[in-house]
Parts: sequence; structure tokens; C-alpha cells
Amino acid sequence: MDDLIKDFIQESTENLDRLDQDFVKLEHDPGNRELLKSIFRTIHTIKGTCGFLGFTKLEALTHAGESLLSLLRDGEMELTSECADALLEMVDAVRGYLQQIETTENEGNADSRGLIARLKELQKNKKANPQNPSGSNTAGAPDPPLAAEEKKEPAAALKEVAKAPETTTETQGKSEEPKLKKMKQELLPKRLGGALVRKAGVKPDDVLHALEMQERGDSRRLGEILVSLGLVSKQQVEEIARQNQSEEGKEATIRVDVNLLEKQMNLVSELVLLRNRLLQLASESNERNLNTTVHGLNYVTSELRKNVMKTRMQPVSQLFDKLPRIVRDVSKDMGKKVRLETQGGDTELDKSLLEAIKDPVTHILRNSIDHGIENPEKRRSAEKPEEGTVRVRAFHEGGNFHLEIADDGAGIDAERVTQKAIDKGLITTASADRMTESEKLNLIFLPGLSTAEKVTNVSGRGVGMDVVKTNIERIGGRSKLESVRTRGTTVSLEIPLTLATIPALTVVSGHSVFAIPQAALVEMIALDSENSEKYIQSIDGVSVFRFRGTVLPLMSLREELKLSGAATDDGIVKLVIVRTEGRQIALRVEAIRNTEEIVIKPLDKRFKSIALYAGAAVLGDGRVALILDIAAFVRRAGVITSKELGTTSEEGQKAKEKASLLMLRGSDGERLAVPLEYVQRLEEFAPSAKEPMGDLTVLQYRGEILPIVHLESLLDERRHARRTEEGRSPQEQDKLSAIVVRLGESSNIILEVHGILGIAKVEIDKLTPPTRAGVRGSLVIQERVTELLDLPALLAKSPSLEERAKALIGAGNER
Amino acid sequence: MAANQRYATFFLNGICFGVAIEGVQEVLEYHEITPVPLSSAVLPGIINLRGQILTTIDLKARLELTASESSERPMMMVVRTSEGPMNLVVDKIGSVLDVDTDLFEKPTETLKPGVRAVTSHVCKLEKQLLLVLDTEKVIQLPEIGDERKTTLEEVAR
Repeated sequence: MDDLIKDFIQESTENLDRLDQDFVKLEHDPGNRELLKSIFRTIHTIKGTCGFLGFTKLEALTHAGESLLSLLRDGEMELTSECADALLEMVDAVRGYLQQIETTENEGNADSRGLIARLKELQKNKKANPQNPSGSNTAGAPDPPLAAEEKKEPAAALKEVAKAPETTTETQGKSEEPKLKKMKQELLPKRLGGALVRKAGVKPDDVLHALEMQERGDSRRLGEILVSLGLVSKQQVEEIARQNQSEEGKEATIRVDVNLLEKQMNLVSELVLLRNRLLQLASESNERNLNTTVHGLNYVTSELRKNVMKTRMQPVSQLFDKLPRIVRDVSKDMGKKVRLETQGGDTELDKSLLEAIKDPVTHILRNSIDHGIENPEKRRSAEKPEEGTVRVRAFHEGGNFHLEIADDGAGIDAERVTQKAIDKGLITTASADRMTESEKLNLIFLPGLSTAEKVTNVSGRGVGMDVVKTNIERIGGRSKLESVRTRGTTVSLEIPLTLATIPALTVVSGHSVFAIPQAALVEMIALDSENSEKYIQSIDGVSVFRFRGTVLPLMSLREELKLSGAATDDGIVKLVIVRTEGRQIALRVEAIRNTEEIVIKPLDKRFKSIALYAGAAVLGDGRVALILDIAAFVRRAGVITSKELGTTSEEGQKAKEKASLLMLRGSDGERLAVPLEYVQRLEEFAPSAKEPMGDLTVLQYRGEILPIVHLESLLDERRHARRTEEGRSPQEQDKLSAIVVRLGESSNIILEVHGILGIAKVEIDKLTPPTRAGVRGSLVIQERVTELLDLPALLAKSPSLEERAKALIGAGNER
Repeated sequence: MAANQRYATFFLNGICFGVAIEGVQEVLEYHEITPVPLSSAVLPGIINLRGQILTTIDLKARLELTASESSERPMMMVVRTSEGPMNLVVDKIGSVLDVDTDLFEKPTETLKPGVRAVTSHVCKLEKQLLLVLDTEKVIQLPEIGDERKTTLEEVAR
């Protein structure tokens, strides 16, 4: 394609993106002339260029838009929402043309005559009597808004007055000219003039004066004029001009083809791998010179990689800039009032990832407005402000990029979601009964579930949150949904900063090495022959693995990939539990190697139809590993995941599965039990180890600060009398027993308990209904009535622990 | 007008094949092939060439020649194609031949169909016959899993 056209398209597309935002801002602040000017300038530039390039249709369209805009800009018309609609439509149409031009190099057959007519029609709404009381027509007198500016800028006003006679003689079409010139002048002082003011003590008025002289036809350069007026020495001007130029040079940026960056990134990734191998080789050699050189190379490579990665980082504001338009359009369609708040626009993310989250974020945002925010009447009756708020927040945390989209709408009715899932046969009633509130909410991510009561053209077509989840998981991210009825819904996305390298687990089967992306990894399990018989079963010829009360489909890598080569059978079954799209499966491998950072390389398209690999990677030792596409494996196992799993796990229940429980003694001697899967460690602390922090009590534990809370402070007291210290034996007082509870993946919480009795393996077949909150029910263990605690619910009762408990609920869900 | 063209030659089951020298990136000792499970015999897997992953085509399987019992280690030839470098597994590498284009003939009917499909010319040299391969045709492979369909199509043709 012609470079000129390419540049035109690129530049215009970028400008149009900004226009969307400007328009939306303008609607809230219709009088903002700066915005109008900027919009006008963009359209004017496009019009000018496409006229030059011969795109007549585009020219006609932008011309119509420009004329309307010039009326708006000059205050002769007010921006009505009708007007904004038409202009936005024009922006979209221009975008359409540009796309067409980009692919076919001509404007195509799109017809925008209707839109042009509408834009022209709107121009007739021009005020009969503009703000200027004299009522004279546009081209004649100085524009009223400019007159307003006169007060602020005497020099500029002077200039305008000086120009007035000139303007009158000009035709309507050229009436922009003085304003364009003025814009130029506004810019100029920022350059040499500004520098002269700052550094050489020239008065701003003198610079303006010199500019006016240029304007009136003085062909000398600004510096020359000022020198001739004796305001500054020639030397000074030259010195400052030179400095100014080098300063400009510092700020200079260049446009780089994204493909080139992509190539560069690949080459750097390869360089990193080569360096790794060289480091390994050098470490085996005693050559001193070689070693120092390699270490130098090592350093340079790391720096290079860091810098190249930096070139690919883009602020998320690029995405944020597109949101106001979406909010405007959707809320208008839905007759809702919605305010968008964005935060953390300068947070950076790899370009390709930013591109990848664009659709999911747009979708979530649409959902928030369509399903989340109520209409104004409903909001009023719910005593909420009529205008709903959607907050989009981006930040970096834990080496990942986070994005939260929170609305203050109606929240999601977990029961309705559950009912829908049951109606659609996605889950069984029995499994629904066993679900926690949060699990029910997260059903929204199931494919084929849409809770919209009526299908709108915004959302609710049955493709929705599941696509969001899949897309986010595809780039190694996670999505989470929280919702409080009547208070709103928050969707959180967590995304790795860069895709250049990903951590992966390498495993071996049949002499081949395979890589499993860490993002999909849940757990690794080794079973001896006795346990493998117990936990691995075959149901209708399909292998399943019993995993903490659930039944997971079990796939053997050897069988799935029809691998040959002797199995390295040491009698231990190695399973890798992987998860994606909300489902888990167990993958049987023959050996587990290690985790390493890998660079994903695409596989030849000829292998694509095998559909089980996500790419290939060269490992640190030079071997090549195929990267497993976990989603494809999960889908392959899909036959028994959805409906049949419901029945199999019920069968599992009938078989009275044994659960491991940690038995605790309460202060009244009552028995309590906690499922062992939540318990990470049992510990004893000195009471003095507890420290207050805010409204939490915390404890330093293995280099971490963890909140500590007494289990019984969370439980409703059954007796009315307060528990006293008397109940404790002296020995218990100088050592307090505690259990470290696993919360999510990284954070823990410490539960102080009265006493730990031991671990019991029991069959949980029938629970007596609970008598207090935070308890799942009671059962008889070792001839004693024992209350089985519902830890997530219990922790949710403590407000300061709420956040952490949410993490626990999330983790419990995924398990 | 006679023009000369240089060919890098190699052997498959004793037959001499040539690829225009401009289309050859390099000749390699046999590299370990990382198998891609569930793939076909024509595409046994991938190799790691200086950190780059190359798809490997077993040329003998591609040309539907019988797998030889040759005890020698096969060689590899990396060719430049429109889809980037591709690695071909061959029996033995020959010399570079300067061939007079006047000697070019169309592939004869007697060639096996698998060979004829990817041969652009045949050259009768003093001692032997040189089959010039069109690498672009060589890399055009039926998608894995579609093989049966394609063979049927070929039969129909």
C-alpha cells in the first residue's frame, strides 16, 4: 500500500479513537471550546487529506461533519444529544471507510448519503440569533467566543481586531483560517518563544508582538525580529534555539511497526535461551576470559530483554479511552444513567495482552450497564442516586496486572443463576444443593448460561461470561466475580504482565517432554499402588480420580497421545491436576521434571488439526517440549464432566466417601471439626506473639504477617454466659494452639483454637442440620456429637476478615 | 540461450534430487527430532535449530517412497519457503551441480505419482538423472487427519 495512505489511516484511526472520548466529554460539558476545537481539527485534517488522496465519499462525509462542527464550535448551535448521535455516527462511518481503505485501498460501496443529509439537516437548527447580540452573520464580525477571550488575552485580542477587516472579505469556507493561524500561534510560544521567555527574560508580550508582526507579513524569523527590536542578543537566540532543538530531540518519538517489535521480541527471547545455554557451558569450563565475557553477555542480554519488553508495554488508558463511548451508547440504549470512573490509566500492560483484554472488558462493561445498573426509577425507589456508577480500576499487584470493573447496581441473584443452570441442564439439583453462594454466583461463567430476562441487543445472547473467562484464561489470566444483592457486582481480572515468557511445568511421558502452563496448574499428586487403587476408578470404561470429595476425569498422556516407548514405571502414579474454563481434570504423566520459564513458539499450522498443543518451546537444556493445550484436554474430557459428573459424584456419596477432619475441642468441651483440606499446619504460639494491627490481631509467621482470630469469637455463643479464662488449663495459657488455614494460593490466616484433638477419617453420610451459623451440620464421630464447621461462612462473619474469607471461598470453589 | 542453474543435490533411496541453491538455507547433520504425537509419518516432528523451531518433513514419506533400510544416519536440509524455513530429512547429501537449463525436461509419466507431483523438471546428466524438486509443492501437505480424504481425491483425479 502507498505509504501516504498507510500513514493517513494510522494517524486518522488514532485521532478517531480520541474523538470518541472527546464527544462523550463534550456531552457533559457542551460549552467546552477546547474540545470542540480539537474535534474540529481532527475532522478537518481527515477531510483535507482524503481530498488530497482522492477519497471523495469520505471527503463529502467529513465535510458535512466539519460544517456542523464549525457551527458548534462558534457557538451558533448547541450540542444536542441528537447532534452528538449524528456526529458519533459520522465517526463510526469514517472508521468504516478507513477500514475499507486499509483492506481494499478504495472506499468501497458504503453509502453515507443518509447520514450526510442528516448532518446537513442538523445545521439548520442553528440559532436564529447567536450569542452575539448584533445578530450579524458568521463571517462578518469576530466570533463571540473569541470576544470572550479578549478579556483574558489582550495581545491575542489585538491580533483578532487587526485581522477583522481581512476576515470580512473572506468567504465562509475560509473563515477558519484566522483561527487556525491563531492556533498555530498558541503553539509557537511553547517553542522558541517560550524558551526565550523562560531563559532570556524576554517579556511574553514582546514575543506575542513579534508573532503578530510575522502574522502581518513579516517574513523574518521570530528570533530575528526580537533581535532587531533589541530585546535579546543574537547570541542568546542562537544558543537557546540550539538547546531547544536538542530538548525537542529528547522528547522525540518514532513510530515503529508492531511486527518489527514482535520480531525483535522473538529474537531477544532466542538470545535469552542462547545465553542460558552459554552460561551452562561456560560454567563447565575453566577459561577465565570466557567466563567474564559470558557474564558480560549475560548482563547485556538481561538489560536488552527488559528494554525490549518495555517497548511493548502500553498504558491501559488506551483501553480506558474507548470506554466512555461504550458507556454512553449502552446506557442511552437502555435508558439508564451511568457514570464511568476510571482509575490507574497509566498502568502498563504488554500490547498484545492489552489487545486481548479489550473484548472481555467491553463485554463486562456492557453487562454491568445492561444487567447490573438499574433504571433510574428502580434506583430511586431503592434509595440510590439515579445515576449509577461503574468503576474501572487498573493496578499492578504481585507481579500481575489487575483490572476491576465494579458497578453499584442490583447485584446478581445467585438463586436465579442456579435455577437457570438447572433449567438448562448444566447442573443437577442435587449438586446445586451442595453449592455455596459464591459457587452459585460463579455458575455465570458456564457456557450457555445467560440470565437476562429479555434478550437485548447489548448482551444476553447466551454467549457471555463464559467467553470472557475463556479469553482471559487463554492469556494465562484469571477472572473472578463477586456480587452483593442490591449493592453491586465486581468482576476482577488478573493478567500476567507479559506473554513473552511463561512459567511452565515440564513433565515426561514416553520419552517426550511436555510443558504445562503454570496458570492451568492446580496440584501435583503422587499415589502409591495402594492409594491409586483406592482413588482411581473406572466408571463405564472412563477413568476417574477421586479428589477431595469430587470426581475428576482422568486422562493419561500416554494414551491420549498414543505415545510409544517404555513407560518409566516405578509403581507410583503421578497426576497433574489442571484447571481451565472452570473445570478440572487429572492428567497422568510418567515423570515430573521441573518448572521453568519458557518462550512459547507457535507450531506449524500443519499440526493444528491435532488440536492438543498450544505451541512448542526450547527448554534450558536445548530439548524441545510441546506445550499442552490444557483447554483442549479438558474439552476432550468434557464427555463426563457436565451431567455425568453429577451422577458419578452422587454415586461417590452413596459409597460413603471418607473425609479427613481435624478434630478440635471447644472451650465447653464440645467437639468441633474442620475439613483437613483447609488446614495447612498446626502450630503453637506464645500469647505474646500476637500483635495488634489496625482492627486486626496479627502474628508474624514464617516471614509473613498473618491475621489471627479466635475460632470461638467467630462462633455464635450457645450459652449466654461469657466464656471465662477459668476453662483453660494453665498449660494452655502460656501456649496457644492454632491452625494455619490455607486461603487461596498465597495468603493464610491463623485460627486460634481451644485445643486440637487429632485427625479423624469419617464417612460423612448424613449431617444433622446446623443449630448455629458457620456450621455445616452435626455428626457423630468417635461416639461424640461433633459440629462440622463451614470455614468460609465462618470467616465471612468477621468483617475485617471478609476480604480474606472471600479469597477462601474462591479457593474452596475451585478445589 | 543456455543458462546455468546451480542445484544442491541429495539422495533418497539412491535417486538424485536437486533443489535450487538459492532455496537452500543450510545442510545439517541429523538433529534429534522431537516427535509431535498424533502427527503423520510425513511430519514426524520438530527440531531445535539454534533456538528456532523447525517443522520437519520426512521427504521419503512425502514422496511416497519406501522407507529404506539404510543403516547410515540420515541428513537434513533446511530449505527456504514462503512459509519460512522447513527441515527436510534426506538419506545423503550430494554435491552442488551446475546444470544447463537446456537439459531440462518435463517430468515423465513413468515417475511415481508421489514424486511427480512435486518434481518441476528432470535433467538427464551424464551419469544420472536429476529430479528437480519444487519446494513450495513439497510443503503443501494435506492437514493431518485429512489424509484419507486427500488420497481419495487424488485417486479420483
